[in-house]
Amino acid sequence: MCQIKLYLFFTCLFFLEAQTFAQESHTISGYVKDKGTGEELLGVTIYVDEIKNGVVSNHYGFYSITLPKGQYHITLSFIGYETKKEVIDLEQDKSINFTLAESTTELEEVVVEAEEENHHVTNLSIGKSEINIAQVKNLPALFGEPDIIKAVQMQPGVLTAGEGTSAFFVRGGSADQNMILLDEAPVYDPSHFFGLFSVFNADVIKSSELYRGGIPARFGGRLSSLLDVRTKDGNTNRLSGTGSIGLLASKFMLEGPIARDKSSFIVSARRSYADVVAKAVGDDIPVYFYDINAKVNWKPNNKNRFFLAAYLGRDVINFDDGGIGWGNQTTTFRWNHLFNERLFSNTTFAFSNFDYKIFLDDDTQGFEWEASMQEATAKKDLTYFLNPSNEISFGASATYRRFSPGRITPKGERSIFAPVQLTKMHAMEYALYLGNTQKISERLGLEYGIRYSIFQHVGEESVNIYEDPTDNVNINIVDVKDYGKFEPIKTYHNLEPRFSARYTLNEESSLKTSYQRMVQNVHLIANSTVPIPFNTWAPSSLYLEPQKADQVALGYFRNFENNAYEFSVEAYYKDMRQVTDFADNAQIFFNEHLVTEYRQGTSESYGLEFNLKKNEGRLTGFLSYTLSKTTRDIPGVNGGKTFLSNHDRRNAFNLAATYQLSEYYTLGGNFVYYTGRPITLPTGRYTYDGYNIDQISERNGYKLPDFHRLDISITKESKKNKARRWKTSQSFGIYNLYNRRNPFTIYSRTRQDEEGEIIGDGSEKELRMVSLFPIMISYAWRISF
Amino acid sequence: MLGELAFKKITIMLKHIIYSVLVSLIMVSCGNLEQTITPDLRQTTPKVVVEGLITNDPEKLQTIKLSRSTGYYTTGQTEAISNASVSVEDDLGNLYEFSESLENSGTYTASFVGEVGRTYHMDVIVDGQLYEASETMFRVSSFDSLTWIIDEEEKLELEDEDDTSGEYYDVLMYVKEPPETQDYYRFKFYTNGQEDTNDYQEVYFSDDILLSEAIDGLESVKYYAIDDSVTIEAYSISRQAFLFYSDLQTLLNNDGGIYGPIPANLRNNISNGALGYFQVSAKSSASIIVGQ
Repeated sequence: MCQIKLYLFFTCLFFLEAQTFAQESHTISGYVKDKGTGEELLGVTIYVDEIKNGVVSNHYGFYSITLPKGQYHITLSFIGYETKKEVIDLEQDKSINFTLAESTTELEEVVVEAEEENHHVTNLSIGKSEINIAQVKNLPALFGEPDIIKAVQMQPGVLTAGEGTSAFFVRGGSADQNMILLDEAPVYDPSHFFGLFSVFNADVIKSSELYRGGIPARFGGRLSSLLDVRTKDGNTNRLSGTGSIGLLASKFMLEGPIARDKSSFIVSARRSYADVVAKAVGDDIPVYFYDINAKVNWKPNNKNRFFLAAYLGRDVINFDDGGIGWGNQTTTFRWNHLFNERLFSNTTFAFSNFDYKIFLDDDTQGFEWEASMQEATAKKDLTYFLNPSNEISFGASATYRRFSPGRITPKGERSIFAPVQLTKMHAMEYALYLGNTQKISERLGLEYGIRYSIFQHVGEESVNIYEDPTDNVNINIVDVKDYGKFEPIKTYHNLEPRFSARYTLNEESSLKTSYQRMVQNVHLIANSTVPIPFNTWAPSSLYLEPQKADQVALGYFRNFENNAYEFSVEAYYKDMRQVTDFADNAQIFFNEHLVTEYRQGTSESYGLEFNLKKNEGRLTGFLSYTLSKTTRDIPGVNGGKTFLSNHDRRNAFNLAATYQLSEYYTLGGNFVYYTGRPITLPTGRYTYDGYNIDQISERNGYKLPDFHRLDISITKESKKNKARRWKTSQSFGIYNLYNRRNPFTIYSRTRQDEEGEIIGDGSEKELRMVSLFPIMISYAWRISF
Repeated sequence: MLGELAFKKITIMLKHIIYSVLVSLIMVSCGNLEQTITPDLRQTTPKVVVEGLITNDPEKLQTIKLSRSTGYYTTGQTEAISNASVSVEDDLGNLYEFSESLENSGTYTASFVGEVGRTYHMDVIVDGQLYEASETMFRVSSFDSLTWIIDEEEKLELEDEDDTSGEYYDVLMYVKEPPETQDYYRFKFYTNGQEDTNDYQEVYFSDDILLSEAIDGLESVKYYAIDDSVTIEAYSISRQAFLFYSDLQTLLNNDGGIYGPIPANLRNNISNGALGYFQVSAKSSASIIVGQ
């Protein structure tokens, strides 16, 4: 399979060499920016009428087109911005930076030219969802805090565990199979407050793209998706900012130039209130979170740009004599360099840290428990814009990871605890990739590539060799092998081919297909449906093989009413192997012999996704419907029988819409309908030593009742006052308008009353369904200048 | 609590906090967030349940109780199994036949004293089916002592709440824990002759991985009143039994698999699909009367 792909690739390369223009050709290149803020815009279509072809600006706003000498009519278009047309006389290589102005919202339907707005149909992306930040901000939000993860959870092919969690499951993948990048640095736990909020502050986000399929060769490391989030670089023209006060959290953002047009900064901070929570609970347990994003960038000349970005976020729970805290920190340094007009390179140095700490101050039971994970990456990504029909990308990366799964230190004079340290683990990962985006003809476009990755579990470590690594009762260590610093313990290498194709049927419709092989070498140690902050990660090693997935997808894309509506239907099939799961009753915390709890098996997922988007006019929004099924087959779990995956939900329907009522008022609404997720229920009970114990027959044999909810919101912008430089807006929302008690989980207990007193002789058991949120109001006040 | 116990307390506290935090974020609240439901549950064939306890206590009979499991919604005592054949053989070849008690059907007893170091093998035959288990008796540490003290904070709290129960005494345990061997324990607490199980929502057990050499003044599981007669028993158990109780504790506090593990049956040491456990333990105990 791989050999054929490589052969195909070399043939194409040869073919395009032969196509090199005989005449003199020159390159126009440069950056596309937002006229108001100077922010580089990624994904802008730069279309050249004469060749009926175009390119798209890359993640840093850079574009490059090589054409024969002559005059060209260029059209630049991008959603939310006014289309720009230019005429270029190409006599020599030219460096041109374009600026686009944000389009003001028209009240009537806007009629747009067909050629420019049908990217949905003409681009090569299959399985990619762009999360429109502006739209997210106008939709009703839980507690008034707009959240891109909530928008991600509404995309076709994406399922959730319900509400109140930031976990998302893409095309049958579990929560840890998503690569979440913030400015190229991985984020290991994207949630605050156990998932109520995500770590992404919508005010600082420039773009967020979710790849459910068609993941380019440039990316790897997780089986199911890539969420590529990039923050703004900072207004290069003038100082500006926003602030907002909500019922639960407040935030501010400040951005501006340091040296006009050369360097800028952006900083933002967000904090939730501890007081509100403490009073309502009555327990006086302050719980709060905060996060800070800061970025500075410097563009000394058109050939070089430097970016330094940092994120720090933390959740804190304090009680009388103890506390719990967890959070992520990421830092990235990037250098964009243009070797020449056609060769763009980006060098990234990224560092991530995720840690948690639990402590208790007590004389006899005091302890401190901490765990953490660090990752440091160096990456080089190059793009060679050979000609308008070929964009070659290639690069390499090296990553070092250190896993500290747990350490307990006693606190207090007569603490009963002894110091315990679980073995620290280290891993190195290397990757090389090569890919090309090629336009074979006016109708046929291809994107293909290959990624080669090497993963090594390395020392310094003392590794236990088990007689039977799956026996978690009688643990028998037959040998202990010592490895020195960086000495390889186990090496895995994998080839990951990627392929997608688009065949244009006509100006309004196209067919697309894709195939991807993904490999994952970091495994989340979690045996619950939704991850919690106290789950640790483990590297592929002697007893844990890399997880692999092969996914194929086929889609039909169609635009209606002059591109006012975008419609697509996509079918996918995903086959996953060596999926990491755990033995029944696995002890995943503080287990020296965690290896004996691993159970790897296969998983299969297939589905049909429908998506409809309306991007223009007073009424905008999207609708998605996914019909899918995901199962698992894990030896040693559920008696070796196939079971439904924890996150399998047959039907998922999402509708989000905003309606521009007038110049100042916008209405927003969400409606979701999901089939209940699978649940494991007892079918019998028995007595042992006075205990009334549940008897479980099969895993995930039942389903929770269906989940549906309607939210609405209304946003009012203040009247524009030309004298004042600032404007305010207020939004008011109602979450769960018809107050449905949506099921979150079902648990079993002995029948008891409201106070917890057992009713009867204790032999009666009852199933309790827990719901999270009844009808709730939210309010937020925003200011921007 | 001890080691594993403390940790389990933290996760339960954590879940309480999670739910409290989520509940507390309600701005407009209408009614409960939990309700009892009764979905249709598929029938299962009843299984044989074994409750076996062999100890080295010369004053107690060895007992093995047999019963059957029943439907989830069925109330009342589960059905006891009568006229079964129950016997235990030790690794020295001594065979002990158990006979059914006349007062308690389903309870089979024998009179012999267990010994540390012996391995006991159980054979139970019900309706022609054989259920076997094997377990070794490990040594148990003896209690150095128990003491009682007044918990001033608790006393003040009770006064604030106008609580006149007088339950503000702590009982503290002092036990030596040998670090060279891997030991597992099950504990039972009694107040005035009644076992304290927190309405059978809690299991008290521990391993020694997190413990240091001595347990110096560890608090018991509840508060006591003056003149309460408190007894604490420690039973040595095998690793397999430790896992059984650990699985039980997890199942009793299960949240349906959302933040915690998916519910699963308990790992046990009995063959042929029987539920329950055949426990073999050495026992030590200590008593105290609060206030004296």
